[in-house]
Amino acid sequence: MISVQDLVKKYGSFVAVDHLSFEVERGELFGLLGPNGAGKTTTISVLSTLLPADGGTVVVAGCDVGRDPGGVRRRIGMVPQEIALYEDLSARDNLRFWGQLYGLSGSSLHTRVDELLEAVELTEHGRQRVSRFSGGMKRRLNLAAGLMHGPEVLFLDEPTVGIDAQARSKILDLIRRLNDDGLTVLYTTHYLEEAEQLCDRIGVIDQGRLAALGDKDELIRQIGDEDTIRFVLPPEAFDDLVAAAAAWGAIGDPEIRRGRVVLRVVDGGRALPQLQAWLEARDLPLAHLEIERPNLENLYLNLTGRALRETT
Amino acid sequence: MPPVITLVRKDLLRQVRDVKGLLLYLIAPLFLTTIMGMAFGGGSIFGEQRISAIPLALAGGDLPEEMKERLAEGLQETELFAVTWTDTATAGRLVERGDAKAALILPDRLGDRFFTGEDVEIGLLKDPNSPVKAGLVELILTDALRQFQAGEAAYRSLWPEDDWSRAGDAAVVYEDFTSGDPRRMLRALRRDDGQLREGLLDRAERWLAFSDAMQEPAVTFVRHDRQEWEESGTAGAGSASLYDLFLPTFAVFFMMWGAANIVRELHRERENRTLARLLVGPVSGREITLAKWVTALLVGASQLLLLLLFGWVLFGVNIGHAPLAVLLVAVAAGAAAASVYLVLGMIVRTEKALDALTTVFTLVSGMIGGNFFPVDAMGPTLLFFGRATFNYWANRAYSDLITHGRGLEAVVGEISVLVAIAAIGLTLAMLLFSLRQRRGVLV
Ligand SMILES: Nc1ncnc2c1ncn2[C@@H]1O[C@H](COP(=O)(O)OP(=O)(O)OP(=O)(O)O)[C@@H](O)[C@H]1O
Ligand SMILES: [Mg+2]
Repeated sequence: MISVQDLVKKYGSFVAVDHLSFEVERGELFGLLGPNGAGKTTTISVLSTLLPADGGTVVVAGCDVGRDPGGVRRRIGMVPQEIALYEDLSARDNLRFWGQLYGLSGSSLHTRVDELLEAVELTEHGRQRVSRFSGGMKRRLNLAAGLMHGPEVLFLDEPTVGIDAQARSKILDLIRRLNDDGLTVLYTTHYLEEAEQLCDRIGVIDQGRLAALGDKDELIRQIGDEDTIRFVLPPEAFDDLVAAAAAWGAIGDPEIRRGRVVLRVVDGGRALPQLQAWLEARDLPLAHLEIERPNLENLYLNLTGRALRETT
Repeated sequence: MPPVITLVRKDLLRQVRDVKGLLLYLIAPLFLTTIMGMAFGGGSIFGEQRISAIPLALAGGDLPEEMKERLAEGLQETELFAVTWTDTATAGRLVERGDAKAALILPDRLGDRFFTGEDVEIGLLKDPNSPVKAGLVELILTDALRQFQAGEAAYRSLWPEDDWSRAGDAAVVYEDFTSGDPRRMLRALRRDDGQLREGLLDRAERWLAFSDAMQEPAVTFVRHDRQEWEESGTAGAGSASLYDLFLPTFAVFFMMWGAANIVRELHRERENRTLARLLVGPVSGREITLAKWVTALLVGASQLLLLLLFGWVLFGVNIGHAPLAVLLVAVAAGAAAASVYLVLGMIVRTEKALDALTTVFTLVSGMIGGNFFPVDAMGPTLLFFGRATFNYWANRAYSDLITHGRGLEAVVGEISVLVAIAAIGLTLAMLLFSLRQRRGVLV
């Protein structure tokens, strides 16, 4: 449904998108995950015909964005990162306007407005001015406005920025429902949890380049399969542990970080009983134990050198 | 519904919903006009429909009755003053009560002083409650006196031997001679031994010739730079009120701001990303530009018409005789303004920059295009530059229609110029928009 090949986009001499390639299948919910300034909005802008590409080919819903921008525009819906609404008009007037622009009128327009207000739970606030809405309400209406004409592909640019957990889960639920009904969605975010929870596949983008691509398991496999065991050990026993650990499938030597031993092993499930036996034999307690399976947070740190939380 | 109409409807709806904006762009000009009306109309909004002659009291001067009458007539002929002769004390009271906006207290022996070159000091009493009118009196009289003195000085330097004080029996003869009463003139000449008669006749001849040469009216309210002024028999300067002169130019000026404000919306839409949404939608850049143009035209023209209508109802501004022409000029002016400001909007990148550009542009155009004074008062240099502004043509059209009371046929030229500006500007704006859209600078 979306095919991006070697996409390059520059602002002057600054390369914002650098040979980006990915494909999105029909009916897929694809996440583009990346920190601030990664190039997510730029990518979406090219895909939605707002910005001309400087290289590569982009085909959306069968239409080339450079050669047939009109065809692309008819088939896509876009929800910008900003609240792109007329704040001095009511929610209803906003939706009516976008609907009319796409040629809806009369009862079909009316029905569609009602439907979408219902879907984003704003029916009761339909006649209220958008400027009086809370951040979460505006975000929901922003989403609804991109759906008025029933697009085949929906571009969502960080649609949950700056709202609380409850409002966010409402929006995520709605996106999931839309996707279940067959809508193809390209979703950008810098929230790892969102991408993880919501998306079928994720492309991690950093500094305009695709750093990793795949479903959750595939991505995790990319950082290797090691588990991390952390626990507290009296310092005098550490040297013995280093000698013993090799036999349990440890990767590298154990280290001490912030007063705890950090032991990386191929398989945490098998190493743990052996560690326990070793401790019991020396009459040592197993204190503050923690086992960490590989996760996307680690992957992300590895790939971008930045923790996601830092970027929010 | 065609997209352009949908877009225009949305913009108009937003204008209506935006109470503050409405106040600023529709009601504020009306309010200001009312204030202006009160300043010129003497306090009452509804009372004086036209600027009436300013009541002026004259006192002192111990001039012969004939001279008094002539002076009063001369002043009244300008249609600016209603003159009453009275004594000094009464003049003061008249001004105090506001029955006269100003009083002139002339010095004793005024005639002699003038002709003998003594200093002439004229007392001026002004009504503090009508500063504008009283100020007007002072301004006009100062100017008139200066012209008179200039004439005197010129005469004396041409014929120094005509000094009346050196004319022997001059005082007596002069009094009889200038009385305007042929019997007294005759008596004065009879008493003469012949020489005085010759001398007087010579001087009188010279004096008359000189004052004929200086026949330009001493007091001009509006300069007659445009030829048509003289040709229009129907409505000269006398019957046009100050509202007829100023209200249309004010209305055009406010219309310019109103149109500029709509164009500013284009940048606001770019900055809050609704423009991006539009560009992703099924509308072309041309349609977006056209829609903004139509909105600016509608808002500008209706603002202009509303203000004129307001002037007509409250101050009797002269639009009743050619309503269609007044409407057409408003639409053409609105269209030209919309185009011009759209082009400005397309050559800058941000709303802030547009704000600055628009402000400077509007003030300068307003100044050189004749929005702060009647177009009839524009000198040739100003006219040269003024013609380059679109508002000049709107001002000129309204000057023809309202000040000079002409009909539609008199403003076809101006309307054509406005329509041409509108068409060229709109085309240019559309081109610029597409260019910027293709280069991706609009998002
Ligand atoms: N119009 C522009 N001119 C110049 N540089 C730009 C422009 N727009 C974006 N950039 C730069 O391009 C890079 C990518 O920006 P982009 O907005 O695509 O990032 P993003 O992933 O959407 O970030 P965010 O999470 O903050 O929205 C950034 O470094 C940004 O500074
Ligand atoms: Mg972004």
